[in-house]
Amino acid sequence: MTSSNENHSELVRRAQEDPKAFGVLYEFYVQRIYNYVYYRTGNSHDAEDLTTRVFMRAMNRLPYYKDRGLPFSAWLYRIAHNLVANWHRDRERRKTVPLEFGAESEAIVGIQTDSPELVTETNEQTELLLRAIRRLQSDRQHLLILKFVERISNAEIGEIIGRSEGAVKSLYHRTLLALRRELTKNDSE
Amino acid sequence: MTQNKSRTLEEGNGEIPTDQDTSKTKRHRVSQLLEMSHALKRTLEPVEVRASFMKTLNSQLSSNVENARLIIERRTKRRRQFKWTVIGAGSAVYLVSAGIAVARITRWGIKRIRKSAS
Repeated sequence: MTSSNENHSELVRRAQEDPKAFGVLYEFYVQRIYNYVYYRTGNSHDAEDLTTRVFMRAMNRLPYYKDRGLPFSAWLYRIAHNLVANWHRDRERRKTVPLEFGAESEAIVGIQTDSPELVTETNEQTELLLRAIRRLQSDRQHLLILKFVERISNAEIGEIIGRSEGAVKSLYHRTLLALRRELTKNDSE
Repeated sequence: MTQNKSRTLEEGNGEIPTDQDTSKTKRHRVSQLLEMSHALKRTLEPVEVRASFMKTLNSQLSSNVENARLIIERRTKRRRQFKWTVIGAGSAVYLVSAGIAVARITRWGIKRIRKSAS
């Protein structure tokens, strides 16, 4: 972990002097940033658009990046978070009807069941859960994406979101309770 | 029957829950949270990025290299300018204060010489 952090710091330093070296960082982080943006926006078209913007911005702002001992991914996630927040704000202003995890949700989950009724039911449940996740506060969404999509440990999540391991655990617990409440509310409606 | 009825929680209907009831509720709540955790694990699967998208973005970044280089140069130039401005301003302040000090000392010296002469 420490040696990989050092390697990354070295890569970042090199990219700060020569933008051509940014390619290596891009290759390493594109999947993670795409996943983050994908689950925050709910569709691949916007996820691709925002991922492009994240990396373009990161490349142009890299000379201003200062290593404060946090992982480089924390900086990238912050850029992604700001762009996603702007995207949500713009979308609310335009008030378009979202196609939240429509046809794509099947592909995400990769459900393989026999009966069509079961498929429909599972898809519905998945969609409800994804919608509930997207209604959570952004730090909670971030935590879930890091934990389940990136599959990284609580300690590493803590480094990225700037909290202690214990705080991450308690945030996770609160997130589960909030999700359960949200889903129960949906059931009663 | 054991008489271990705790009177800690009173429900709205007036019934007093036993320790067994509370542990059952706790167990139920924990199992619900575990279920939720499993559902999240099933739902939040990593998504593969389209290869064509990765290629396009890579070429976009490559064509942005010159722009990024210009930004680096501009930043280096601005930093150099800032450094020399600070050094210049510091030197100016130093020279002015040194000049004032020298002038005061000289004036004081002249005054003393005149006093001793008179």
